[in-house]
Formats: sequence, structure tokens, C-alpha cells
Amino acid sequence: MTRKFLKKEFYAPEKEEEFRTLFENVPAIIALIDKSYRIIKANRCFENIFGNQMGEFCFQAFKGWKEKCSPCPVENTFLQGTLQVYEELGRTKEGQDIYYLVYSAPIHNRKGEIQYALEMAIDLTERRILEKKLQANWFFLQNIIDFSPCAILAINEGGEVIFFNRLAREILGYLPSEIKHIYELETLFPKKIFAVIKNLLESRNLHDFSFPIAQETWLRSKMGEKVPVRLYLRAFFQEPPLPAEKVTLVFFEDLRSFKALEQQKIQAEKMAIVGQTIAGFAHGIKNIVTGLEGGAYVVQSALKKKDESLLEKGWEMVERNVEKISHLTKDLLNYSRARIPDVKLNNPQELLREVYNLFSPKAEKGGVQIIIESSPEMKKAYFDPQGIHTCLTNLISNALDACQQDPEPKNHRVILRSSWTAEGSLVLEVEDNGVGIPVEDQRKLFRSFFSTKGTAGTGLGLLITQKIVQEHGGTITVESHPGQGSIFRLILPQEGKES
Amino acid sequence: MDRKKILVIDDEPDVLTFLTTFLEDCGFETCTALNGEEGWEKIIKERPDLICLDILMPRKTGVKLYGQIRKDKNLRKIPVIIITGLGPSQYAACEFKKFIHQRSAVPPPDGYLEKPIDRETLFKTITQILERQTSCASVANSQ
Repeated sequence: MTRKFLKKEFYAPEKEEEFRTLFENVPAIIALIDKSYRIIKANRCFENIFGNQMGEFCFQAFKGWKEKCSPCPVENTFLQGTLQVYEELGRTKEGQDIYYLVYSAPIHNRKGEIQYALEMAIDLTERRILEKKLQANWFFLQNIIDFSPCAILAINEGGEVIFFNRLAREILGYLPSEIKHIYELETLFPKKIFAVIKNLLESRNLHDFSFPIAQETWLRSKMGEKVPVRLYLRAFFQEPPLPAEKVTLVFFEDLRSFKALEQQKIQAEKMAIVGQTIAGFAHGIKNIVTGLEGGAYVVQSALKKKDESLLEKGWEMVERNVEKISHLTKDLLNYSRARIPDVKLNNPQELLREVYNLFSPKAEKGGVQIIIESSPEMKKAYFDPQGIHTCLTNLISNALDACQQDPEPKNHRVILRSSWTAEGSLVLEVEDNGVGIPVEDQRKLFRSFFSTKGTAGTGLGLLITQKIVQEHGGTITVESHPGQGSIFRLILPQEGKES
Repeated sequence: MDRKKILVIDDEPDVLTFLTTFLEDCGFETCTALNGEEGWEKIIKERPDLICLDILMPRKTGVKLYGQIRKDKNLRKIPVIIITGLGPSQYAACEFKKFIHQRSAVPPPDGYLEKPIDRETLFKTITQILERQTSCASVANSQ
């Protein structure tokens, strides 16, 4: 009943007009094509684009071809009797490319045979151009990212690494396919950096996050190697249609080649020092030999003259120079020995007391008072007691010399001080109110064989002190004012010594 | 003939002992000073016939003292032998040559020796200088 009614409606004249209007004015290309691929009917939109192609072959009309397309939507419509969908590239009447999506539907005659194929197409050219532009843009960005001399990786809110550029993969030794498997940020980053990233991932506001512009640190490669890097962190909010979430970008530079160069430079400097050391060593020996020769001459002369007091003087010269050469040898051995400091938990006060006892009698004889000033905190610290003992004895004997060389009549004193920095490093100071060090000499203090004591010093004391402090990962500094005195300060870091 | 008096100025007591012993063995009279200041006092007091002067010394270096001697009209005739070697010898030599170069008004020293001191060279240098002095003086006297 309903069907009959519909049929009647379909053939109504006003319906025919409705369909004609639709056919002509729909903003899509429509063409009716017969079994021999000829265009029987086409709408206005078709004519606007392809021109009047009545009776032409469809491949000629749509594409300007002489032969049937392969695959052919019309052919398949006739063969299969179903709706066919293809994306095609054709040519307009102006000779320009046109991308279109075509639907080809069968039209049956009264007998139910397929008489025509109805091709309906939408112009996709603009979309395709946009797609191509997008692709070109993406390619451009991809190149920038991949050829950037900076390694880049991105982390999503879930803490997963979602992106690695080529350099980042190379530095850390991952294959492109392995990116998805790196979930353990804790092993990739050092503790401190991991904490910052975690903080960043959890923070709601990008602005409450501050990170130094560039930080020297390391990243762990796939092979477990700690790769030295300079690292930058940035975060941004990613927008839909991509997952709307905060993305953290990690930029880093591989510092391995810089580190290698640094090593080479240090090596070259070491070699230069070896040269200076040999020159200084020769000079030191020459001075001692001069003393020995002089002493020998004086002894000989005294024996001839039977001058007993001169003999004593000459013999003292010989003895003094023998002692000097023994000191020099000992210092040189101390310096050349590559000794690993025997770092233990020690009481710094005890050490100060020990060197105090060692020097106090000698100092008092020379009219110099030694004072211990230690921090009230009776904390123990990690250091090599033997090494630091050597450092302190070197510094104290220098301080005593500085007091004795001072022509000014004042109460000379040497202060041994222990304290702690805010970071928890142990600070040991040796302060005197002696002659002080001329500004031009302050720079030369830690050079090999630099001595202001003429032949009385080997010029190695401060060099050895510096070496021991450096072996502790510490630093030695000096503050000195000529005529007022000097402070030598050893800073021994304690961080990480427990392990 | 009077024994000639030689003033040895050096901050190293051992060098003083050695040089005075040697010079006395050679027949000279000696006196000593441990630094530039003391040296100046001794020059005025002792009026030596010759001075052996070290360059690198605390409290007035040998260079300064040398300039002072050469500028004094009563003392400028006293011959001076520079004996140096403390600190790298190149450094001392450089400093001394710079000094001579800068002040061309100051005549060069009569002798220049580097440590370690060779006794024979020292003796030869001293006697040559003193002989020259004596002959000059006798020529002056005879005129």
C-alpha cells in the first residue's frame, strides 16, 4: 500500500522538476554514463568544470585520456552492480589538475538490467593542496628536527617518552622502533633532573617552574653508559586534535667530544708542567751543588789553615746542603707518587691538635703563638688524615716563616681554624699575621718550584698541598695582604663521600 | 802594597762564607752584607776596593743598589762584579739586561758572573779589574 503510493508520488510531474533541479544545482559533479563509456547526461557543475562533453567517452571527458582508466569505476559498476568509490585525478577544461572523490552507482531499466552508471563526484582539489602543504611543512619541520645539532626528546604527562629526534636516538643508542619501550625515566636521567621533570609533569602552571638555562649533567644510554650532556628543559601545552596535555621537551648536547678535548688539554698542560718541573728541578739541584762545592772548599781551606771555627762553618754548609737534597728528593717523591687518598671519617679537631703539638714548641722559640679556633660543631669529616696532615704542616711552616721574615715588631701568631660551609664542606684555614705575599707572587704560588725562600725552600710545598687537596675533590685558595698576613683555605667537599 | 778590600753582598750566608774564605785565601781582605740596605751602609763605612753583588735579594735588590752606587759621585768608581744565579738564571739575566738597557746613562758593571761560581774565573775577573784600576790610578798620579 505504502509502496504503491510512493511509486505514484515518484512519477508525479512536480517530483520530476524537484529531481531535475537537484540534478542540475547540487554542488557536485554528476554524469550519467552508458555501457560504452559515453556520457549521456551531465549536470551544470560538470559542465562548469569539464565543459560540454555530451557523447564523449568518460575517460576523455574527465581526464583527457584516449583509453579507459584502470581500474574503471564505470566498468566495475556494470560488472558488480554495486556502488563504487574511487579517488581520481582528472583534468579541467582549463587543463588544470582536479582531485575528486567519485561514487559510481548502477541505474537499472525496467527489466532490472544495469543500463547506466551514475557518477557523482566531489572536488577535493583544495583539500589535497592543503594536505600537500601540510605534508611539505611537516617534512620541513622533520628535517629541522632531525638535522638539528641538538638532541631532542619529548615526554608526555604520563611520563612516557613520545618522541626522539635522530640525534637523540644516536647519542643514546636507541633504534626508532625502541622509542616506545623507554618508560623508565628514572634510569634515563640522573636523580636531580628526574625530580625536576617529575615536578614539571605534576605542576599545573608552566610558570612556577624554573630551571637553569643549561645544565651540565649526564643521560644514561641504552648500553648503560653515562653520556655527558648539556641539558635544557621546556614545557608546553599540546592542543587537540592531539591529546590535550602538557609535553616536556628535553634538549641536549653531547659533550663527549668536548670532554675528550678537555682531557687532551689537561694532558698538554701536564706535559708543559713536566718541562717546567725538570727546569726547576735542575735549578734546585744546581743551587745545592753550589752549596756543597762551597762547603767542601771551606772545609779544605780550614783544614789547611787549621782554623777550627771555619772548619765548623764549612762542615755545617755541607750538612745543610745534604739535608736540602734529602728534602728535595722526599718532596719530589711525594709529588710524583700517584697516591689515592685514603679517605676516612675523621675528627678535624684531633688533626689540628696533632699539628699544633708538632709545631708549637718550635714556634714559641721563634716568638710565634699558635692558636686553634674550631667551630663548636664537633662533626667528623671525610678526608685522608695523612694527606691533610701533610697539607697543614706545609701551610704552618710557611706561616711560621712568614712571621719570622716580618720585620715589624708585633705579636706574631698563626691561627688554625676549622669550620663548615653552608653546603656542608669542611673548611680548614691557616692564618698568619706575617709579611704577606706580594701581589705579583700570589699568582705564582702553586707553580712548581716557586719559592721566595731562596735555597731554603724546595718550592714544592704548596704544589704538593694543592695536589692532595685536588685529590680530595677540594680547592685551595689564598688571601694575602703584604704587610698584614695571609690566609690559606682548604675546602674539602663532603657530599657523596659516604658511599 | 795594601791588601785590597772586597765587599761581598749576598742574602745567602753559605755563599758569603764560601766567597770570603776563598777571597781571603787569595790574599784579599773581606767584609760582607746580607742585603742591599746593609750593603749600602758597608760601602760607605768600609770603602771597599771592589764589590761582589748578588741581584735577587730581599730589601733593596742588587739592581737598585747598583744604580745607587753608580749615581754617587764619590762611590761610582768602585768596580762592581755582579754574581747572580738565584732564581732561574735567565730571569736574573733578563732583569739585569733590561735595567742596563733602560738606563743607558748607567755604565755596565765591571764583571758579570753566574752561579755556581767558578773560583778560577772569579779570581781572574777580580785581579784583571783591580790591575786595570791600579794602572789607571798610577797614570793619573804620574800626570
